[in-house]
Amino acid sequence: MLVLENRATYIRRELQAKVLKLLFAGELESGIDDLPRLLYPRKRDAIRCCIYKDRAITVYRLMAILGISIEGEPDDPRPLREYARQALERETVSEPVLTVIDEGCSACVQNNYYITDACRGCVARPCTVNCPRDAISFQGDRAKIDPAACVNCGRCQGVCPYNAIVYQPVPCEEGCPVGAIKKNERGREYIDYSLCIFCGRCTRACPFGAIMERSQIIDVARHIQAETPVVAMVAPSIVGQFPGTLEQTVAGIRAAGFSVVLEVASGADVTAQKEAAEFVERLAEGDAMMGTSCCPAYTEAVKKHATDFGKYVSTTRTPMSYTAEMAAERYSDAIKVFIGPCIAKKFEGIGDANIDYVLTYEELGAFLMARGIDTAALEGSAFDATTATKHGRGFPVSRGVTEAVEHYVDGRVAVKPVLIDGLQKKGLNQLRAFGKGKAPGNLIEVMSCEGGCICGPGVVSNPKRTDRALKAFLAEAEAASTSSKDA
Amino acid sequence: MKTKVQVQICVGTACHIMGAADLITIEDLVAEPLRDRVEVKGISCLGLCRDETHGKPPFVIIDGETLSGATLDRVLHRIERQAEKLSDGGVSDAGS
Repeated sequence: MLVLENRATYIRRELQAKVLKLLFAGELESGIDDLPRLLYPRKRDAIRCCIYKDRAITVYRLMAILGISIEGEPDDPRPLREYARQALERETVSEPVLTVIDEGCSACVQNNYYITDACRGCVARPCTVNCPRDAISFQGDRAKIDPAACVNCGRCQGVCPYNAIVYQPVPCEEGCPVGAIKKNERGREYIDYSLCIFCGRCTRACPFGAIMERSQIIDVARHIQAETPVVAMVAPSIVGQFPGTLEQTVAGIRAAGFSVVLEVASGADVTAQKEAAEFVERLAEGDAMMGTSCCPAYTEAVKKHATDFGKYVSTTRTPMSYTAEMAAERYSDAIKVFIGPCIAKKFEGIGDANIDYVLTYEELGAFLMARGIDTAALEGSAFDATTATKHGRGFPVSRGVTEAVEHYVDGRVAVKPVLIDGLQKKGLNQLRAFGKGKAPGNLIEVMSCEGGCICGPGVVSNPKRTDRALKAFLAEAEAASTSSKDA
Repeated sequence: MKTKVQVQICVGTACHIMGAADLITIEDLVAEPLRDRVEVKGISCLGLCRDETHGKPPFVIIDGETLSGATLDRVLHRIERQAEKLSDGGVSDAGS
């Protein structure tokens, strides 16, 4: 499961907050070029080879935070103030939602197997005997792998009597379930967008933080600064992301400058109801199964990598889409922003006419930090116009969607769920197999992130904490609804 | 006389985002012989994050002394130092 507690995460969060702080002070263009130097002054110890490299990489990070696609820029980037102006002036955001800082990529190993000093140069030499590509030779008293010949089969590791051969992963490639991130001729990574499903795992897997989402914080902050009404549509995994109660988080979002705060769990209830109706209908028409439709990384994976399964994916729209539709009717003049744990939603948002921008919780956190808002100190505030039930609110954990659909199917047909909790190569193969018409159940729930949305790349809180908070919140909501609600 | 090292971890929003949630687990990481001589608690936002001269969040106060940009390692180190002072019979006057 995703572990976000690391320095690459904190560097990103700090930079996002600093950028917004400058923007809210009206000093973005005049101040942003100073940030790399202020963060890495001459007297500071370098993280990379020298502070100049640290500063150079910071420039690229800031470009990504300004929403710039680094790949399209010249070798020597322009001053950051020019990118800042470009960000402040743009009316729409564009694909792709990710960008690679190739200067920041450490060009990890070409070969996953490496023979360490523990090699004793033994007489038996099973590594050389068992290598199917004759890739291992002896140099002095130690075995060495020829990277050009090695095919990463791992047989040498298995036969070494001294455990002298280690497996070295390439974290971004290992995180990518669809082989979309690859090395260029210089050994640095790039993303093949014809394969990418925008799950965002590579961005959090890279220990050098060399892959980033192109942020839309500037676009949102600019509208807030101009006092345009801005609607925040907040995903159900928000519970437990920030200190204090959910109501205090809602108050924090208002304090950050959002004029309306909607609960996307309301849209999740619509999704669950419609998906339940569709499920009953499809099964009556003889379909063998139906796949859920709310996770955009998974639906993109089906389109690009498991096309046969496409016919089984529910055509019901996502909770974000229904919530945005409602927001568009009610707050037609406002800017509509989805806030969630997800990077793939940035991709989904670009294709949804009712969505202007998409932020992660982490990016929302940058607004709170930049404006000096402590959620736990605020007086709580309720969501606007919410109709959510515990079923919609339960969406963000694995099995949550299934339970909600099952509730609304209400026994009309037997639901036999199959859960793909975390889309890896194995899960993709399952989907390809199910596409042929046979599955060990009839409702296929797929969550790209293992554990569900609460484990998404854009979360702030440790998923264990979120899970606890969400369970407590659902129990509380249920107690309140049984005592007060009459249908 | 004080007998325990007082560790106060700010759990305000900025500190939470910058890693304080992780720091709260520090009680379990303190070496066994020291464990009953350390008291860890979360405190609400002190507003230190709003002025950059105080350093960066997360903030932890150990026996009255503020540590900025706190990491598990640095907090543990400071706890051990303070515990040593206490067992040497030296009275830590900071924060008293």
